[in-house]
Amino acid sequence: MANAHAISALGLGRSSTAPTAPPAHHGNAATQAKLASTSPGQRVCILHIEQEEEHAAWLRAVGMHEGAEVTVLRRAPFGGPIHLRSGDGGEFAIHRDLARCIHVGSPDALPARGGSTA
Amino acid sequence: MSAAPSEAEAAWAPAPTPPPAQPASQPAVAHVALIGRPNSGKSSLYNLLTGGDAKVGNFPGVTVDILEASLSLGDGAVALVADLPGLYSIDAVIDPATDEGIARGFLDGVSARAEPLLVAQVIDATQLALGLRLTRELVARRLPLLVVVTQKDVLEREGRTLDTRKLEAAIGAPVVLVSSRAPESRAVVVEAFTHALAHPRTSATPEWDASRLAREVLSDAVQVSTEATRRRTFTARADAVLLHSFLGPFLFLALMAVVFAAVFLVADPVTAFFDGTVGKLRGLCERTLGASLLTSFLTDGVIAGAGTVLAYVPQIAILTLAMEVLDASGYLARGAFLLDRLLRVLGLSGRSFLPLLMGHACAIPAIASTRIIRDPRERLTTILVVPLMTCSARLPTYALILTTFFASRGAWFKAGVFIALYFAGMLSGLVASLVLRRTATKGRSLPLLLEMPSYRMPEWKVVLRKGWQSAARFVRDVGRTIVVVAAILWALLKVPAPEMLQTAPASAPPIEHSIAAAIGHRLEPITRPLGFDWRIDVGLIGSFGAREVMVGTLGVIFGIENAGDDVSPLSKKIRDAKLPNGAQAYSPRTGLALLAFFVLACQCMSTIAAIRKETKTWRWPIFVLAYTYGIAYVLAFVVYQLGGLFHLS
Repeated sequence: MANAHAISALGLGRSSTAPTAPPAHHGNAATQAKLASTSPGQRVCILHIEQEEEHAAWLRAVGMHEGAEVTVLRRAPFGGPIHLRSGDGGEFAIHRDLARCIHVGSPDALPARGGSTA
Repeated sequence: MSAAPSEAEAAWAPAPTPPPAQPASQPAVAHVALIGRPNSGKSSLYNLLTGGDAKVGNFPGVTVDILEASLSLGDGAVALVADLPGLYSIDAVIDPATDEGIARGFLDGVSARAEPLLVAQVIDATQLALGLRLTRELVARRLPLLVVVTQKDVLEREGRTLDTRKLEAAIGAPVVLVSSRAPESRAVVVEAFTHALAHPRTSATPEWDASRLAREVLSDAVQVSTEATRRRTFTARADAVLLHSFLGPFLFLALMAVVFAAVFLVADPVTAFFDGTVGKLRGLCERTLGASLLTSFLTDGVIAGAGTVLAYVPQIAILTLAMEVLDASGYLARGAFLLDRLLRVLGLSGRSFLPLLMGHACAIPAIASTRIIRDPRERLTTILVVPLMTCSARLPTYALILTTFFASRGAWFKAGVFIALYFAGMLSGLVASLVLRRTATKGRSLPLLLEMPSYRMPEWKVVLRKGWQSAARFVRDVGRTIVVVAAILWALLKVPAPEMLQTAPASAPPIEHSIAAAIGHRLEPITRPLGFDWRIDVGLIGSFGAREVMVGTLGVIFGIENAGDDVSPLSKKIRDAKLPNGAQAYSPRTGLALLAFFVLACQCMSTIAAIRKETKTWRWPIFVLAYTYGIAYVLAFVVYQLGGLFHLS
């Protein structure tokens, strides 16, 4: 678990300028939203994962960590999963229920990135 | 496939024994554990290093197959290379049965035995930041580490460079950049293994951030190369069609239909060829040895059992190949994406769809294919319900029952019943999964996240080898159980029981004197409420091993030769069968009850052996036997009794 905490700390470190209570001046819809309500084409930044610690640690390991930028590509019909691309270079399908537990904000809150790794 | 037999021989050769005179500096054979995220190119690298040779390693406490092969190192020593399952983390272990838990168990086991170990982490260069998250965990555990970054060719084509020196300095472990598909990469990796094993390095606490480090060491494309654009737009364009809300599911179903057609078009002739060969072998055996109990044991027991094994091989090979192609191309994850919502209602996810669909052809490859399901509880649930799907082996029995008991009904009625039987199989599977997820397999699951890899051209050598290996493993592991059960069933059906020699008339067919007949008579009071007499019970005993044997066994009981070729004489005999008091033995009620029984009961020792092999315990195969026979009995009882209420006689 010590390492899970290390990852957690890392995640928080990455999102030091994108804390769990994001700055209010970003008035767009993504500022204080859930991943589940993000529209296709929208690019957002993960702020907080509302899951028990072991599940959150697994999600971070997969690539859904605090500070990660994700772009929603599409939603499966009838409330199915959401297809998204991570700024770290992977694409994922995330179930709608889980996406409701992921708080996202505007990626502008992050420091400028030096380039894509994808 | 021509080279396959020699590879298989190598694959199943005994474990290479360590060289007898080890240098004092190397007391034991070193382990190299290949570790990496799913789709990181780990299998390609393993294939490049070992030429695909693989045996299932024997690792204490590890409950899944971990492939292992020996590799000659540059300094003349030999290392055992183990291909661990693809995983995201070794710290975030939600359940010991997940791939993450298995890998951690393996690493802990090797460390506990103090054997020399090198962890070779494979990272896809195009997902460097994601791979480095796992590197952080490995570094923090102070494991002797080598990082193998693959997809060098892709980086080159995109005009990008990886600063391996800078990466090495940051993580404190050696780094090599290779292309798993280029043969010359093998020497580079073997050299790196040799050096890393001779000079093990464990680094300090990682004080770097994965995403930031990836950006620092990997240059952006100098210019947006046409190759990079083409690769990305291809996946995006393909997804626009294949994941389209309406078009996507139709294309998926069409593709599945093609796979099924291939199973029946390609596998059936091969199966028929095997059948013919086995038939000739039986004939040869009978002519050479003459009629005796031993000949009967060899032909009707051992060779017939081996024939059952061979009959499944073509289906297993084709379904495994199809699944490997779908998985390696990246499409399998898309199918799971499309169907996830539907299966979520039933406590399963999109990944369960393919095994459940394959179960409609044959449960054995379907059970093996559940390895694609990452969540261990969901995987177990799928394994437990796959035997309820209407596999192709049920069809001859359904046909016999329909012809026998509903001879006067029209073709539409029979077609309707056939379709209803298919739906009954699916419905029972879905109800069973709902119940199991709340009882036997309840518990914590992995979060509902699925990686969607880019579309890639499958490596045909890898795909063909996997198809061959799964067929070879089936023959070796499952085949043994089948032949043993076939031999036991032969004894039950052929060896006379003393009590039957006294009670049954001497002129009766030998099967009426058998141990199976004695058991059938004993079972009769239990099966009477289902409308089954001792003859049907004997048929059910005979078909315990393989349900399609029901037709042949009933043929023997009713004295019809080759009942499998044409069921109409047997149907007539069954229709006309009388009870000792002269009353009609069977009615359409019996037929319906039998159909209900066949829909649910897991009358397939191959399936049982496959479940044993996948779950590594006898607990779950016994559970499947108990629950499927239990509900089969109850449903057959309900159907027969309801039939009586509606005067179906």
